[in-house]
Amino acid sequence: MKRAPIQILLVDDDEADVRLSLELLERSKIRNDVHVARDGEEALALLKRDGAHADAVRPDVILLDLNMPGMGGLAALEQIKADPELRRIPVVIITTSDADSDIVASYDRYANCYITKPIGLDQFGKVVSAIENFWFEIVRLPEGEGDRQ
Amino acid sequence: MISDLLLAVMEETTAIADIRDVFDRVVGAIAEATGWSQGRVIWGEKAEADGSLLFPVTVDGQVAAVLVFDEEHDPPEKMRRVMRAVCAQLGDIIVRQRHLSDLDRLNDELSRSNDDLEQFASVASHDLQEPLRKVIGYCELLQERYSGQLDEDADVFIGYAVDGALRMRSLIQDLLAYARFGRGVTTTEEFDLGDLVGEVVAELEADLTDTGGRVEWEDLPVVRGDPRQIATLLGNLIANALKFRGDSPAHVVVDADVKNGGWSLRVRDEGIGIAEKDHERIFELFRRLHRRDVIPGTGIGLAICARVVANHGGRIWVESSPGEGSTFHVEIDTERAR
Repeated sequence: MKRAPIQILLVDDDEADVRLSLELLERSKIRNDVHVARDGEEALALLKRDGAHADAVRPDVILLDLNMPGMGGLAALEQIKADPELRRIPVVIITTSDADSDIVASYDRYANCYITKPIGLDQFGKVVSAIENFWFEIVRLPEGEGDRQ
Repeated sequence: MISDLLLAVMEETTAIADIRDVFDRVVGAIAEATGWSQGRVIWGEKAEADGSLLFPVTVDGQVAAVLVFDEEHDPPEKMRRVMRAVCAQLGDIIVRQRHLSDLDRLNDELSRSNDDLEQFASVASHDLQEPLRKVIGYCELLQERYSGQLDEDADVFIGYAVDGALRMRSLIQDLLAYARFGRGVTTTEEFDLGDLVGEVVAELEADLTDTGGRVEWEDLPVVRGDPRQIATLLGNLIANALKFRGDSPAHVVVDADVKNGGWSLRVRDEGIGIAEKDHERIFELFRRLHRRDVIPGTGIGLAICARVVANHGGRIWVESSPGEGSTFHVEIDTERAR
């Protein structure tokens, strides 16, 4: 039986970074669909299926950048982990910062893990593979989440 | 008598926290010894001193203060001589206090300047990395997607762009590493140099096996310093010895001894050696002597070594000639570590 593609929510305001991520996620051996939100507000609207996003797919994993205008990554993270319907979704922080303060702040708000954006396709590719291998081959996620069969 | 009193007062005030206090006490001591009354100090060269007995204290030919007493009779010449000597001493004290305060101010400025530089290096490096990610990422994507599809020149051009970007990334990372050593030593403790060399060599295991090199050390002493910084120093020196080995496998010898107030270290190799004219240049930031495709690296290793040694109040230099290997000497003066 063919496995349904993994639903990924990518939250990042930087267009160039988003495109890079999309290019790399596309080459992965695990089929996936990527949905993009440009800031915290849009991400939450998609997750809560508000208004225009009533038909939004619930993601299997959230890739969250920290430095975004408006509602930033940490604020969005807090809200996601405070919501009983959303808190089970693994949130992977992927951001440029390697500052201790950001790392601590993220884990304090229950981020599932923290990754500094890699430089170079090689590195990036390895990180994407690692995320998929870990979260979708090794790790067990709660059943009946989102729209996956 | 007076001189004893004055000596006692002056010796008490080595810190010169409050110079006015010192002067007041000296004046008090003089008044007590001489019986002169209303002893007081007027500060500043425009002072209007209205007492009958005036003794100026001058510094660099300018009046800095005046000791004033009320006394009808002129003091004998011997007394005047003593007072001139006292005022000369007081002048010296003022000079010393000015120097100390200049030193404090300069230290503060230097410290602020160092902080600024570090912060600048750190912020610049982080902010520079972000656009660099995009340059590298997209150049590589171009390479992958279009190599062989555009003309040959395009492939070469893109190749150079990617190389340049990757090299810039190395430089930024190295600059960050270099800035991190700007703060002086963070801890000073006693540690076993032999154990430290062992750890450093263990980390270079892969390189050593690949190149058939070996590092020797024996009976290294327990020394004082910041072990993490010294580990970096050793790592850079030994890695260099491996890198610049020439055609034969590297043979590196580390030895050290403890001396009065410090210790010294030598890292000797049998590699390609360094010409005399370059013996000082090699410690400059990003200074390289060889073509990039012949010997890789950004040229930061020895600059960091120099920083570490400076943080420990020491010296580093090299003894070497082309074809005769090199010996890097490090001397640490534990009293002077910052």
